Amino acid sequence: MDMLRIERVSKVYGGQVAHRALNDVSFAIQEGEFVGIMGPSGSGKTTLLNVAAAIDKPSGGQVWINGKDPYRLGKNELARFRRRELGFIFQDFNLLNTLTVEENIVLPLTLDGARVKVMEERAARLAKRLGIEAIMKKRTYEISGGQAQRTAIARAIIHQPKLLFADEPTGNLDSKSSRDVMELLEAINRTDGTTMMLVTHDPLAASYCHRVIFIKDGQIYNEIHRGSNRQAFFQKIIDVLSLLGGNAHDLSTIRV
Amino acid sequence: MTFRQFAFNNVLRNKRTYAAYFFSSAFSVMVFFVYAVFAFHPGLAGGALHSQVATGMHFAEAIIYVFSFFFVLYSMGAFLKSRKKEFGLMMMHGMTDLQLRLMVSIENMLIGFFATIGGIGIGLVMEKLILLLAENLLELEETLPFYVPVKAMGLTFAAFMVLFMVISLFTVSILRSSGLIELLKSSVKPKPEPKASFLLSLLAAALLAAGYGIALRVRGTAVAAALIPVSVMVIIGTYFLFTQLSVFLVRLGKRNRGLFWRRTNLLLFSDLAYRMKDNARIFFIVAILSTVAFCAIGSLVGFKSMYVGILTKENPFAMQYQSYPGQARETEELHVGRIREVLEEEGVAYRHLVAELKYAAPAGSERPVMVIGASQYNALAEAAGLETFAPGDREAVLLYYANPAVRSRSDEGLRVLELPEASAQLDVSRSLDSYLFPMYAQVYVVPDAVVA
Repeated sequence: MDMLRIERVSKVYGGQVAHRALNDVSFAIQEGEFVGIMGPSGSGKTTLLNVAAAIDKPSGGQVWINGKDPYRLGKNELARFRRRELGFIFQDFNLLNTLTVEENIVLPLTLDGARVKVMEERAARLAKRLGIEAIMKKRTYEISGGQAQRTAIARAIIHQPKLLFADEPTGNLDSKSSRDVMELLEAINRTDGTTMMLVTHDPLAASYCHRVIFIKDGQIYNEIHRGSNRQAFFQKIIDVLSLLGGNAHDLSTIRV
Repeated sequence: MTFRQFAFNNVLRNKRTYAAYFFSSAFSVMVFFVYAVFAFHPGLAGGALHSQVATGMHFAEAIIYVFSFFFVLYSMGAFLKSRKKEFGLMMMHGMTDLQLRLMVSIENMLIGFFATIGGIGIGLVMEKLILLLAENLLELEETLPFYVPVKAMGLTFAAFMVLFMVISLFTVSILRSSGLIELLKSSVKPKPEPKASFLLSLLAAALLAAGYGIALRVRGTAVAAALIPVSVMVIIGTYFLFTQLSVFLVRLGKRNRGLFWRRTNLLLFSDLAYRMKDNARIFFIVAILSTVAFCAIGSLVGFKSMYVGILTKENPFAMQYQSYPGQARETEELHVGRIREVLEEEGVAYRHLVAELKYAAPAGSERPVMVIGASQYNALAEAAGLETFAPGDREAVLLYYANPAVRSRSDEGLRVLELPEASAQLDVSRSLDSYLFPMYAQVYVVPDAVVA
């Protein structure tokens, strides 16, 4: 069953010179799949994620998440849909700095009006799993980038979403934290069966996916599948990227 | 963490962001409260003048309230604008519109409540100072003692609670229009360069120059006629001064590289244009608000000195007894005798002067005129410290009364006073402004022989 289906989606940004960020893009993500989206800067990766995640309405085409068109839902239905079925992880974490780590984690449940007892239990369980028990009472400016991203992941999965969107989750992290985060996402995908859509230009992060879709100039360029070997998959990703003619800095050679 | 705790934590842990909004709210509460303290002062309760002062203050209060409303609304708007990304994030995590409204309302009421209490508190501390200032400014003879302004506190509290509640409703509509992506991207979206229209800048300068020019020039009755056009011109001019002219001048300054590229000028000028444009409305409201406040006090001082002037000028004599035709001589003498008795009992020194004004029907005029003998007039005029004169046998002088409040002129009298009853024909040789007989618009002073 398709968890996310994108059909002939295009997005045009108005202004004095109209810019076509997405042009007739179609693909689908199966339930339980872990899909990466890659492409050079300005290729439309983030636009695609925003359109797919019901953040930015497409100019044309249709989006189906778990069989529903989020752009056709009423305001309150959409809010409920977001807080029950979707999870988000961002490059700059986007934690609310007025709240403690624990409060940030339980936010989606709070908005849903869950019981305090349930929230506490789930937060404690997640903290243990993600190794952030020690910082639960701290405020967001007191923790490191890696801890912040783990907090954001906890917040994104506490309500057990069906579909998780991640926009460059390793973009602001050092290589050790990046690896931790990607292993965590992989583990969540494997054990909870959460479907994931990951936008990245880090080939190492992309190598954790089952499948990577490459886009260029707002169109799908190529798609490669992972075999059993992550190392070989990583090499394949690098090959496609150089073929794509992405700028040199898109290939983080330091990590190899 | 329940939703309510979430909303409370948001405010309490983020004091610095909320402080600007809090203080601007508390400031407008304080201004309002101080005016209420003055308007409700028990020392101003009695007397014709005092009730006028209180009415004036209540009127100023209403204007201050209206402008406070806009002031708080704009502060709130600016405050919410800076938090758009936060709202976008919350909506992304599934916050409904209703929850967002509820949160903003709770926050707003929380800040509003403390701002009201804080504003009243600061106002109470400043109360005596303000009262002293008012005493001196309005030249009130009695002192205004410190009192606990229960009424003013009640009014301020109720008025601002209502204000914050209404503003909570308004703010929601500010947020509703923007989509999720705009909210999320708002903090990184570059601001367009502020632009100013040359014509509107010119208009601002012209309106301000003309408005203040007229205000300085007009005299007399023209003031009332000029009041509204001048106010409108100055208000529009002030608005464009902040939104257009200021930006225009900054741009003009930027064009001159010798000036613009000198040390910190580079940063100063490029920032200033944005700051001006962003805060133009707030500047405008504060400018108008303080103008209204100062003008209200100024007008009250003006009215006060005018009323006192009229009262003392038009009543040169401490006591007047008037008797009209139809009253018996005896009654009249009885009354005057009684007055003398009381004055003597109390040991008050006095002079007694009599003036007999008579109606005379001049030839060629439908209405009778009032005449007084020259010697009686001179006795009164001397006592009141006015000019005396001795008209010739065939001469009369017209005294007309000009009301200082309305400046109605009634100096156009008869040129020739022909009185067939007294078989006299008199030339009206002079006419002069006099307030000796404020009851009558025109009185003719005639030779004693004519009225004898």
